[in-house]
Amino acid sequence: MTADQAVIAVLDALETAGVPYMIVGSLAANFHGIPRSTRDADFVVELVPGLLQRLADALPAGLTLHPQAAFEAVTGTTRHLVELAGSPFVGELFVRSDDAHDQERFRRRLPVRVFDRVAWVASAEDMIVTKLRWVDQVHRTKDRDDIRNILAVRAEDLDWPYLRRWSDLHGTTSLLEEIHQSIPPSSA
Amino acid sequence: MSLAALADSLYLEEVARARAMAPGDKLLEGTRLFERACRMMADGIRHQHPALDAAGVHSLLVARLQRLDAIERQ
Repeated sequence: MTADQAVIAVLDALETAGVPYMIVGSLAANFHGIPRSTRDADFVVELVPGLLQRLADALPAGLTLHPQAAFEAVTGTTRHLVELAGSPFVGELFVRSDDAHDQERFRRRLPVRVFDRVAWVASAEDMIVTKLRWVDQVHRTKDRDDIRNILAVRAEDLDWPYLRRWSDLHGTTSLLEEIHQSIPPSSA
Repeated sequence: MSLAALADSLYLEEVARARAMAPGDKLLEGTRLFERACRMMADGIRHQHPALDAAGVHSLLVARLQRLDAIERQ
């Protein structure tokens, strides 16, 4: 099974198991911005007791869900790993947290038609809001690049009042403006 | 054309290409790029260590990816 087949298989398993989810991380950043290489597929999931086992049962051979949760420092949530046999590629399931923006971005997730199925993806605005916090806290270059790319590609249709409301709350508005201004003007 | 103008022009081409991609391809392009990079890294490892078996190549590939992750986090 290839990595992209594994992503589709995880999406189908989440649907089959009835796990509410959204695609986040680099897959969602690629979807809204400019694709770059990624070694993981990140999902935010709503888990209630029993759902994890249903999800494990729904995964095809070659994909293994690790039931032990680990704490993820960057996102401040717990996560479960889905490993693809014989590949360094991994799926990461982050349990939705109580953070106000984490909850709102889950409510705003978008149904997107891909490969004859509907997949739920975090919105472009929510990807930017999330990654602004990470740049502010963790200073990863790729997060800054992802924000710039989403701003450039989705320039015309971003909900700027929504973006600014959250960046004001998180104290990241000046960072947002700085990255926005670094985009060559004719792409806006 | 200045270097900065060339960089801007190339970036705008990237933006235009991304806007033209099909949604499904955009979603999965990152995983395809990663697999292509892994195949090339594995070829390099096999060239460097011809005696390694498939498990050994995989193990070294994972170690190198972990090292790259660590560098990225610095």
